[in-house]
Amino acid sequence: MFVSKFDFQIKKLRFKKTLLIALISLFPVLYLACGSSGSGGGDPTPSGSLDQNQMLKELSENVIIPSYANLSTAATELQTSLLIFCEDPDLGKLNTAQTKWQNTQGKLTATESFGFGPYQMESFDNEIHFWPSEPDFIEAAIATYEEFTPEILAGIEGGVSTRGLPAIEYLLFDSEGDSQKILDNYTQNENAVRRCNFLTAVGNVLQEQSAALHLAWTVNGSNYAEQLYTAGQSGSSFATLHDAINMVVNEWAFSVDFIRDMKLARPMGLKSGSETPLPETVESPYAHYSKESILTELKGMQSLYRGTYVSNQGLGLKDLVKDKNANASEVLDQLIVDAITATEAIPGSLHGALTQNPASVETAYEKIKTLRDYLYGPLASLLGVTTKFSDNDGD
Amino acid sequence: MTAIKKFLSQPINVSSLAVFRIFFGLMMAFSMMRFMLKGWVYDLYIRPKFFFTFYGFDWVKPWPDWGMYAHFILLFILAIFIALGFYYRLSMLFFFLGFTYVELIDKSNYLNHYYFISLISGLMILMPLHCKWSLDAWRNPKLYASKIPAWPLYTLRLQIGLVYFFAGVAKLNSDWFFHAQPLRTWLSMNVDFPVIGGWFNQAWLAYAMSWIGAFFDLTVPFFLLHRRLRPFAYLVVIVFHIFTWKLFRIGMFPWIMIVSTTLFFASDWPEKLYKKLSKTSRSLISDQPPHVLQTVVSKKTNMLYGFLGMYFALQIFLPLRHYFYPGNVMWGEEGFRFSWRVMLMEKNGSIDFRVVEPSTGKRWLVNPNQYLLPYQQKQMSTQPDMILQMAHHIAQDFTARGVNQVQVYADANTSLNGRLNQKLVDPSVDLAQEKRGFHHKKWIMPFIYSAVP
Repeated sequence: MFVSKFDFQIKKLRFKKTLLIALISLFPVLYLACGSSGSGGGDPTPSGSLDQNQMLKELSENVIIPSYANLSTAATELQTSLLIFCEDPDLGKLNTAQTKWQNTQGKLTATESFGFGPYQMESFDNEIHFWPSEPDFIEAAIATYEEFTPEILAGIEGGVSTRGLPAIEYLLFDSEGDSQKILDNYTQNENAVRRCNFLTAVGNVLQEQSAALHLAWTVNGSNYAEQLYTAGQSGSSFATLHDAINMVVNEWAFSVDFIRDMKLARPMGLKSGSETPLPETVESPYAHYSKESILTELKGMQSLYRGTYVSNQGLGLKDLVKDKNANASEVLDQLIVDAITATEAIPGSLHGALTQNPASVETAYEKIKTLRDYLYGPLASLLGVTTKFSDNDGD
Repeated sequence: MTAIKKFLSQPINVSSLAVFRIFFGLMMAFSMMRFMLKGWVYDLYIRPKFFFTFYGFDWVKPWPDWGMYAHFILLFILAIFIALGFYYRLSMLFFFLGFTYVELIDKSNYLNHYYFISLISGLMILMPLHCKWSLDAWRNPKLYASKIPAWPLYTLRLQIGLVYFFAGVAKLNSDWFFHAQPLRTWLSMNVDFPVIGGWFNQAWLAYAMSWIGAFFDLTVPFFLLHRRLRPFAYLVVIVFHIFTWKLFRIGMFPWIMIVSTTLFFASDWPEKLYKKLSKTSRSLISDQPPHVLQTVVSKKTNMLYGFLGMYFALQIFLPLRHYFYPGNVMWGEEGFRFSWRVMLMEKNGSIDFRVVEPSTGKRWLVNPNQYLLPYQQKQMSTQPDMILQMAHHIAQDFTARGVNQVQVYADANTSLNGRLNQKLVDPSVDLAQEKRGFHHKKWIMPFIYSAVP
């Protein structure tokens, strides 16, 4: 049969039209076949309506800034107790200072899961919480100087390992719990006055640093909070909202890995090939406050997740996870609870449990490792967070 | 065969290739400058203590500190020479060697677009792209030619076409098609994207973009070859690459592809464009004497065509080689690199190494962060061949410390496209005893398929 060129073109056009309609029709069919979300279906992923900038704002205002404010207050109270103690040292005042140290340590570790921004960028982490402290350098400094001006303190051999909470812990606590022995250092020892001068100078730096850290987050300071919650908008140092989320989640996950690796695996002797635990390498070897520090850090991490802090309640990372997958948000919440419960179950101090009840420490380690694995695996995939370093093409 | 040779040897206008050479050189110069100014020379090649070399290329080591900077400065100069067409062949040869050397230093930095640049620059050594609009042709008029054999143009078109096509083939998997992953995750994290970001949480958009993306990759080379559809296809290329550049911050890759795909236009497009823009009766171009470079098929060209045939056979084999390995290529990554598997997965995980000294029973839990920088650790933790290299390095380190008969085990938990963690490698296998190579690694745990959450 003869087919004219015109007919052929018409047929070609019809074919193209049919193909186009087929392709367009295919989309909703396949889309529905995939059970995608929206108004139901098998996929648990919600449609995603969370205002992530608002979440960062509420996290900043409800959790992060109040946490730093409490740290600053605690550091001030600690310094006050140190000054009172040094005026006329006695056991009661020493005990008060020790309690204030524990309180400050707890407030500090509660912030470590959000130790991004000024805490790292302005080296507050080193000034406030560089551990372990270096007793040899501390003793050498006390033996060398009578007064400790900020300049002298800054120039002491050992640097930040002679300052911050770990240094104050060394100066206030005896690893055997003999407070009288500590008191004697401030009353009987030939360098008693110098020791007190050093203690209060370090306490003063801690107080100033904690206040400056709090200030750096608020409108009265450099207002880092605004930088964070306006991410992706003009004026923010975060080019995109994802950059900010990425940083927050990375630091949050890193804090759990740090607990697992440095605060548990190391004293358990796992990292050094030791056949026995190494209790002397715990975070607080003098105050025996390591378990509590891990707990407050995990609870701080939980606060950031749930968006709750003391009586404050708002959006948290859990809402972000829930926005992607409601099941995952509950799974993760439970993993955090499991890690906290297992740590609480360690009897006595971590220092003592390492040798007397190692099974409880191993259980806590495993729970925290499980949490770490979830954060670095499924959660990172779910949120699309990566350790960004340079350009990539995504493969 | 004769017809193919005739086809490849037919004279074509060299203008589009000359323009490509100029832009390629300028983009590479910009890229090298960017590397230095962003501090990547230090961060990627000086700061790391350990490098994941490619199998067979363990001899490739970074220069001492100043040497790496000198290397990049030299690459920058060579790129400028390429743009200018100054000692073009020599510049091209050394640029290819220098750039490929940098890419071979550390697997952690592997990117498909770097591989693409290595291939293109290697091919360009063979091509007379300096016979027009170059200092070489200006200095040596005998070199000048307005027309050259067609094989350089078709070679580059085929290479570019293979990149797109295999990138599309790689997307033909259930995660991409039926779960819109990983695009769905990535889009949802960019809700602040201008104008349309508000829709990025919508599942339908992720599905639409996944399918359109796959369709684009699979078909764009063919549309670009179609004379009438080409302008529309090129417009889509521009929109697609600018969109992905803005969305994913993928560096130079989109710009390289936007420039490269100009080669699909008629080979005289720069002259036509110039004439259109200059609106003068006599243009600089028309002043050039017409000259056709040798197009006779000689013994030398036969060898060249033979080489190109083998080259493209390899280029087709490499993206398909994963079929020779069992399991999911995104999981075990055997045959993953050099295959144009771009933007395909969100893979994350954690890893710990255990070192055991059998004679004493001593055990060490080793955090790889003592050897690696964070970006290296991230890459290593989900890629089995890098895990093996890390295990070997740890074994060497512990042996040097006096530990006997070191055994190294890895506990790697990996999540692919949002799934729950699975063990990536067999935690009971002593990786210190396992060999590197192209054989299938039996210690890679099988991927147990589960629905993407």
